[in-house]
Amino acid sequence: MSITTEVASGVDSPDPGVGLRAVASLRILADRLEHLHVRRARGLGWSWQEIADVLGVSKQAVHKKHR
Amino acid sequence: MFERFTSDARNVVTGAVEAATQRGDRTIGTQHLLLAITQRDDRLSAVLARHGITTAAITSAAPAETHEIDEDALRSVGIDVDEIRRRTEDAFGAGALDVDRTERSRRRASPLGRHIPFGKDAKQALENSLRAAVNRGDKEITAAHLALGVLSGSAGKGGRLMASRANGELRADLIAVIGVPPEADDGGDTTYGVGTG
Repeated sequence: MSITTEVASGVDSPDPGVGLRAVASLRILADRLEHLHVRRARGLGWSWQEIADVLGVSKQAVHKKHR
Repeated sequence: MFERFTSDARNVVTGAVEAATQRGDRTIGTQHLLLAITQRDDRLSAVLARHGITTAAITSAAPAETHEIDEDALRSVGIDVDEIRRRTEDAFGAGALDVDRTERSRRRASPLGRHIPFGKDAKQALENSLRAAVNRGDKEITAAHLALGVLSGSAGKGGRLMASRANGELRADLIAVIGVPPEADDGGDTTYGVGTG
């Protein structure tokens, strides 16, 4: 089975639970990666504003989440 | 708002907080209010059980929020978590992807325990229970009023479960648990007679 077929079979899965779990897992994955990268950026002297600009959120939001 | 709650009703509210804490859920919803009732063994929980609202039914309709990465689900949409893990560990060290630092840092921020806010649905259920008591002329808000509040809002996971099991009798059965008010009042749009402090 090609990768494309595998992906399509997952996306076409009649069980919406699988797709929803994938979305939920993506958010968790994104949160964990965000945390790691924000900490590294801070360690390298990035300002909250610079981090917020790259993430596309407000400085307040990123500060509240990671300070 | 809680001064008119019986100790029984207060136990439901604190029980809902405990249920959310145990499950690791981020907000308190109507499912937690119901869990706090169904986990007891009394007349109210028996009424709910008769209508199919049990701890098992709630847990099945509203499973605990997961904080785990479902690798099979991600694979089904074409994402290889192993590859992400390998690259993340290259950059950040062993186990970097699998430690939930976000959660840990949140807990560290409040050493007395995680504060779990009430969701909109649960707040609405509490308000509905208050309104039901005022409309009926009940002096106190009991655990059964809270169940009634969840039912009448039909909001959130608990409310939707109740609405799906309600066949007209559920409401009457809950009112029977509350009993006859001192002065029955057909109600209408009564204003709240209590503060919110």
